[in-house]
Amino acid sequence: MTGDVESDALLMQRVAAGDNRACRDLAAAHLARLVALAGRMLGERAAAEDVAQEAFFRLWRQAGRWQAKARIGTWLYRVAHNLCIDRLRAQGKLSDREVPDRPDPAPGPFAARHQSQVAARVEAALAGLPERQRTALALVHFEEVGNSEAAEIMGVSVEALESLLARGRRRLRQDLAGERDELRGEA
Amino acid sequence: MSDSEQAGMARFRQIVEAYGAAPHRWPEAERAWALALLAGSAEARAFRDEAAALDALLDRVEATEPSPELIADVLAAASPSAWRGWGSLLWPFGPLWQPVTGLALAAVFGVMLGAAFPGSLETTELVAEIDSLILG
Repeated sequence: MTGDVESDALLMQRVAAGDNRACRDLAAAHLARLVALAGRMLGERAAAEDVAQEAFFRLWRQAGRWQAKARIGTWLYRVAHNLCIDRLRAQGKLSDREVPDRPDPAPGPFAARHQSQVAARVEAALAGLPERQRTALALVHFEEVGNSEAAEIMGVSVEALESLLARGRRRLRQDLAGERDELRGEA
Repeated sequence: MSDSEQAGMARFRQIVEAYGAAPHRWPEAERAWALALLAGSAEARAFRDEAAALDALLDRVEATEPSPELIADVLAAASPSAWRGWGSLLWPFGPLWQPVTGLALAAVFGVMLGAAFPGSLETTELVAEIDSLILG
């Protein structure tokens, strides 16, 4: 961890000196992950790209003042997370209180039988999660960020993160019960 | 099952219910212990399999990929002139405060010099001297 922080600080010194290779390496390592996280939080490609771009602009501006206190990835995720929260709040899509778990949605008229349809159902179920549960899952499941780092990015304790994950997954299990049965049938 | 075994199983269940079935997502500090429990317990494997079904569904969702335009914009903005702003155009050799401070010190020095020697170079005398040099 400390080694990562120090090597990231050296990388930022190269960015500050105008080293294009360092900039390309950073974009290659983090841009896709930021877009993916923002995409899962916001549900819109254009908005996700705007957030990722703004996070990187802030990183470039920070280059000359960067101190070896944080990993670049954690810093970028945290900036992107906060930008997404600001957007959701501005759109009135964010509540300070978690909404209670909802009952199972009614199944559609036709069972999803193709992968794209299943994926669409899963995406819809993810989109229906409260924002913090969705973000916790995006970080830990999809981006495979460690629990301490994910908690730091979200500004919560590890215990709170675990609770968000467990509640999110419980609700997804309920919402996707039909799809899970189908998956087991395919196995 | 002893109390400690029950507590261990309860914690294992919490882990897979939160982090899913894949051990690489489990808390690092508990991973070895949880894997050992998994190897010796059919109940633990049943919890793991339940979580694996949801993991498999989640893994069907594809991530949003950055567009080529976004990558180009981000890298274009990485050039120092882009994020240092107009200051770098005026002074591309380093921080802008260096030449600004130099100019300010020179101005202060000039004012102090003028104040210290007020009558040393009267304008009219200077003009007359130049006239005599030019006109003879």
